[in-house]
Amino acid sequence: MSNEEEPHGIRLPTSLLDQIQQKEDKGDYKEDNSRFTKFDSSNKKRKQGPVVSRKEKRQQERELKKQKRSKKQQKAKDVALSKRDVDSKTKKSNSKKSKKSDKKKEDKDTGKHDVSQGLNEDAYDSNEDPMEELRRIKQLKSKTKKGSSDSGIRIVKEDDLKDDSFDEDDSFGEGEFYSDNNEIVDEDENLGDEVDDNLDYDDDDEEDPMEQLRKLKANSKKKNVVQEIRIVREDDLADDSFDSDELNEEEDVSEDPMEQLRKLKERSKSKNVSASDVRIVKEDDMEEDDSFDEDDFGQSEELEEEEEEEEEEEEEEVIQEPKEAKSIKPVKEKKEKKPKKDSAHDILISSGQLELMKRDEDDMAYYAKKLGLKNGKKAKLSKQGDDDMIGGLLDGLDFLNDSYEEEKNDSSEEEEEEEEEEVSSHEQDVEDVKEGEDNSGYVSFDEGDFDEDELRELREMEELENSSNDEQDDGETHMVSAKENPYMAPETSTSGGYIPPALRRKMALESNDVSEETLDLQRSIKRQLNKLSEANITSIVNEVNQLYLHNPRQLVTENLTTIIMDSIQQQGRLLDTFVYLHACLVVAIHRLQGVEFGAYFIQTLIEKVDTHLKDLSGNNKEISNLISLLSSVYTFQLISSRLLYDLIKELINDLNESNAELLLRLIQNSGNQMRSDDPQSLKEIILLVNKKSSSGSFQSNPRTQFLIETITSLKNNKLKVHNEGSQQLIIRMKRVLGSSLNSKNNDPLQVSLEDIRNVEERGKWWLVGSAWKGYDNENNPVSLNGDGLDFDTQVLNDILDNAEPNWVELARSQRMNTDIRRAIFISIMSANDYIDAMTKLDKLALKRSQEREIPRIILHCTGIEPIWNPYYGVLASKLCDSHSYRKTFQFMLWDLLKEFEGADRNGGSDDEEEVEDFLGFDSNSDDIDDETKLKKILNLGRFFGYLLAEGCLPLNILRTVNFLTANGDTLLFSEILFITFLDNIAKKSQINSVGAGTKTSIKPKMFDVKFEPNVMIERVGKAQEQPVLLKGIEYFLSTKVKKSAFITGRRQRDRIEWGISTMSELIDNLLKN
Amino acid sequence: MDFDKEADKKIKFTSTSSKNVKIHSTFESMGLKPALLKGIYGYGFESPSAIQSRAIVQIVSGRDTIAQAQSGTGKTATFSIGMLQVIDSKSKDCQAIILSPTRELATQIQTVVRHLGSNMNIQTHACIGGTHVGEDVKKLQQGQHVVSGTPGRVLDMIKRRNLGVRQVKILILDEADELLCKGFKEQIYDIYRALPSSTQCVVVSATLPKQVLEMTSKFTSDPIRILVRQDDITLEGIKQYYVNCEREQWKFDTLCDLYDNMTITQAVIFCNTKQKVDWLATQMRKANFTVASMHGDMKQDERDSVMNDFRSGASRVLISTDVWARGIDVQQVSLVVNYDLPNDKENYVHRIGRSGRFGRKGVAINFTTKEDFQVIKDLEKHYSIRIREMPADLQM
Repeated sequence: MSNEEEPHGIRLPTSLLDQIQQKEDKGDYKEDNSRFTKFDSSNKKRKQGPVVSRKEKRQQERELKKQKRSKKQQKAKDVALSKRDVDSKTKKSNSKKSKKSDKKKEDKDTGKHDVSQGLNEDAYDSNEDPMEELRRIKQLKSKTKKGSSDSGIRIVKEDDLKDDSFDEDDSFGEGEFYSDNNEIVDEDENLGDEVDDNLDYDDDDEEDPMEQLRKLKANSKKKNVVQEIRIVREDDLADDSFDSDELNEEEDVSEDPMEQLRKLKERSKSKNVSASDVRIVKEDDMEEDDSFDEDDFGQSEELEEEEEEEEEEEEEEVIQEPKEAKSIKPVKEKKEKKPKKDSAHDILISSGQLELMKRDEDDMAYYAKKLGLKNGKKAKLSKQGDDDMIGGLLDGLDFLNDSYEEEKNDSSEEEEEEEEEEVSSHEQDVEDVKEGEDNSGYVSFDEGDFDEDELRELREMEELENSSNDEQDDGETHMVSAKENPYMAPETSTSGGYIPPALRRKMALESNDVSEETLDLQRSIKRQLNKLSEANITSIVNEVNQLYLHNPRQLVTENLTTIIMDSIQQQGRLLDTFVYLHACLVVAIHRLQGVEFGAYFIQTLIEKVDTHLKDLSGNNKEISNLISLLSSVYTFQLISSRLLYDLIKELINDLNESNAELLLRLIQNSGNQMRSDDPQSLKEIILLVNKKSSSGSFQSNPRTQFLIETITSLKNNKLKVHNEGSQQLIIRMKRVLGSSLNSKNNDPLQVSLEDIRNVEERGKWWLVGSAWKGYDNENNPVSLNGDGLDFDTQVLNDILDNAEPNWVELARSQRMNTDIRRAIFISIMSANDYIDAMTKLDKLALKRSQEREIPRIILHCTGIEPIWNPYYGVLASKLCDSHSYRKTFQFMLWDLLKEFEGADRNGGSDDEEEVEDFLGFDSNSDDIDDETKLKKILNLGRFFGYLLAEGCLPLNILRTVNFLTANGDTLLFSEILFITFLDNIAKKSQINSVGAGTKTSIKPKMFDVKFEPNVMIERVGKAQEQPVLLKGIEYFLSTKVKKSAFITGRRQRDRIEWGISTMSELIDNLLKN
Repeated sequence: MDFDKEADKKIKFTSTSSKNVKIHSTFESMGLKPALLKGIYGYGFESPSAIQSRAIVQIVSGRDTIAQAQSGTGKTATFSIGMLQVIDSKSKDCQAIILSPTRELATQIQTVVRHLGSNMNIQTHACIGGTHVGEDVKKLQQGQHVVSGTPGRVLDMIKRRNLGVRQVKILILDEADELLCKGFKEQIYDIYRALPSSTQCVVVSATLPKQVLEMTSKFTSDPIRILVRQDDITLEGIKQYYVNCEREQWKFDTLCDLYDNMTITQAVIFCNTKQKVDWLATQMRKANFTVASMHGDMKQDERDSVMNDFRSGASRVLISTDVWARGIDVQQVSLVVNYDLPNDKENYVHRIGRSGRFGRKGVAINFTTKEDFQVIKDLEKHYSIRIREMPADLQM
């Protein structure tokens, strides 16, 4: 034996061993599994039935067992036995019930710890045997003590195992069952071993000597050789001893030597075949086993020696120490297990000082509870064992016989093939398994994992068990209640479970650097956002707004943004409603809280979109949801169209399938609004698209084609709204935004994509003074870049030329200082023609007093134009259809004239200043801006001359002009006015000879241009009540206009001359009358 | 609208004939008219759903077709697209008749057809009861390519000879099970008889009970069948958890806590009794939730409107009893809460199965009390699933 074993031991270096042991200490559950499987495979090999599935094997084993037991039974028919049977059966039933009430997880855990326990016990018991046998008669109950101490160790493992088992559960859904099976097998065996040990006690002294011998041998081996092998042997030894026990029962003690021989053979076989496997398997357990060895030895003399073991274990898990101590004490005193349990708890609490991990502690508590129970059961077992252990052993045999009948059929032929020697080993295993199942309470925890066979067995057992005594009932109820409690523990303590808010907060506090306030904040934001719906949006906006009062603003902003992003950025396509509601919330908060929130939100949103765009592999549903959000915040006017156009340009430049989808979405959602906001940019986009499409790779793709068509239909203003429901929603939401919120931050953010992307370099674009400075700096280096200079400026100019002016800016620059003035200005300036301008002005729906602004602005515009623009004249003449406009123009003219006079005489009164100021005639800057002033006078003169000629204004409004005493400005103005007036009248009155109308330009001299005086009569007639004016005009015409230097061209001169003569004639006639 | 292609692959098509059906993974590959394609894109479809990828081409091919798929998989669009492909917009005659069991549905279909055919110059009319007959007559005289209606009014129009059926190429029975159950049987027979014998018949339904299949055999000849297996509801892809609330009265707080810690787009909460549904709805409304609730005491149209609210996103929580468990399929439901565990094991899969339909990922959370562990265990065993404890950091 020693010869065979030693080589194995030597093969594995102790260092390696240690490593493995350490692993085991850490509770590497997977190793456990592998261990089991390996162990199993070793079994297989032993059996020479490698193909046989585990189930089958187990069945075989069971059958063998049953065979044996039946033999036993036949031999030993004691009354006490039958009593035992009953007891054990009731226990089984208890266990069954408890199993059912268990959760699977629990099952597994218990299963595992049973396994580990069992393994420990295996080695432990077997180690112990030699020593014990010496003392056995004195200390029959040392077993129970060991059991309890074992359980202490168990705890260690269980803690580790539990976590691992969770991992396992996650990773292998199905694998669990498999491994569970393994566990069960092992477990069963182990438990069997335990029982065997018990049997040993009960066996006669005759048997003892043989065992003693064997164990002594084993001990010597252990000491001499490496531990692993020893342990393997120990297991075997335990089995062997068991065999011998049984054999003893079956036959006489005299057979023992034979058995020993057999077992030795087996051992050698098994080791040869699967030595390494087995070794590894066992090694894991070894550490504890070793310690236990020591302990056992110590125990034999003094229990104090257990402290050594505890110390060893402290290294592994410090917390066990007290428990073990406790657990041992009660055993000593033969106390019941409940108090023990309690004491374990107490110690738990006291052991808080160790504080390795809080969670571990909780786990410990949980297992301590469980342990206590088990110990209790064990105690019972042992008690019964005291009375008559064999009885307890044979409990299950009755039903086993029954089930045996059935299982017989299942038994494979392999069994028959097995050789005699191996049969004995089988018997050991089988018995181990069976007895473990039958006798031990904990095995039954694993019902969920049992095979069908086992379940059947259990059912049979149930049938058999109709009787149960009070004591067992107590035990049962106790068990049940005790099992309920453990469920609570993992909920509060395990990392995997749902954790109550308070504890979770604490944990989060510990684990992260997130403060409690932040968590609270996040929770309250989520609470509100999860409720967000159309019906309650106002109240939720208020709630969220409230958060700003109680929390740091930036914190709320950040968290709110993150949470909104998270809920929008989802895998599936979101309902439009959902996106719009969130957008509405964002805009509402932006309006209530100011630009910081809106800007931060946009910044984050665009950054997210950017990362998604770059990451092509990403789910495009997420980005399209983000794009939806972007377009819906645009809908609610958080941002201007600029950002969207920037984004669209970028998407077009990198056009592909997914980008086309995004573009489509953007355009369908906000195309119409973009069109009305900034048609010029849209034009650019369309040009870009056309260029792209003509260059053409994507023509073939129907989707992009559709995109182009959509854009085209957008251009033609034919884009249809395809979701009326959400349009309705938008309208309602806008109403919400408009009604309930103050309009502090109503202007959309004028941010560009570039601003957002360069936020690092240029600073925060939403902070005044931060961004634009950077922008300038950015531009200058480009233009100063030497070689690129010319090109850049040219491009710049092109862009500037093409660019639609920013009307608002322009209005501001023209000192349009009220909203109304700005609106009018933009209406006039952005109109395509005078009709367009009229409609736009009509749309403004101005009040009467506000209407007066229109002529003022027209005058202003006329004045600042570099050259005379007839557009204003036409527009004004249209406006003059209305009396109020006519009057306004009249007063404007008078003001103007007064101003011309006043500027020279006394600097003007308050009224004049106002007009001046508005019209941009700065009297103080005359000398500086002489040319501008002159330009204005000319333009305005033409303007009013045109109006007079058109008959929009009557000639008599000039009555305030004193032509005799007029100063330079007035004279100039009048001169221009009359020239224009006469010129236009002449044009109107011109009668072309036949064919002359078209040919005048070609042959002007060949025809005398004829004029009809009707128009002139009409115009002059208006002033017939004003003889002074008429005289003045006559004088003015003859002195100034006739010789005017402003008359250009022969044709104009002709017209003017005709005009002067006609007008003078008319005036003369009128004056005569 | 979009569909998970991966998940669609998993859907099994049972009938033998459908195995030969070619699957078109894009609309482009179906050879549809460009104008129709534009309409499809304009409607927001990106790629065809399982039923669309199979059935459209069959409908276009002119064979009688029986198509079955669950609601929310684009059935209406399926036959609408197939029909529009067949219709000749130059001729003014009525070429397609769509029959549906309710007026609302008929109108809805008309809207869908109009949108899909927006680039095609297709005239569509909803010919439904409860409206002025004169209007119908007027409209029909103008010439309608497609008539979507309820059987009664359509038959009436045919009988009055206001609706010419000489040129009808295709008859579509939407929600055929409803149609045939609701006593429209006779009217449908009459309509069918009035149509030319060459008319193609398309039967579409969410469910096709045997009796319906038998009856459809009278309308159709050698139909191609595209049937999604009826018991296709799966727990696959659905993460299932339980939360131990210990006591009944603590469940509500737990629910609120869930809402504080997760991002929940839309959720369905199942209770076992009507009283509890009402109670819970009241409680949640008090907490400022917008809640829709539904139970067996409500009338069908009430339920429909509740469902519409929920589908459109007007309410984000739906509280219901088992009564309606089978009928709920809302795409964006991310969470199903079993406020009470179902009394019937079968209902468990109906309750939570939908949230993960067609590959959509879902989360189901079961609220348990002390007594419920056994039920959870039973459920686990019955469906061979794992219901785990809810992790603290669960994200949807």
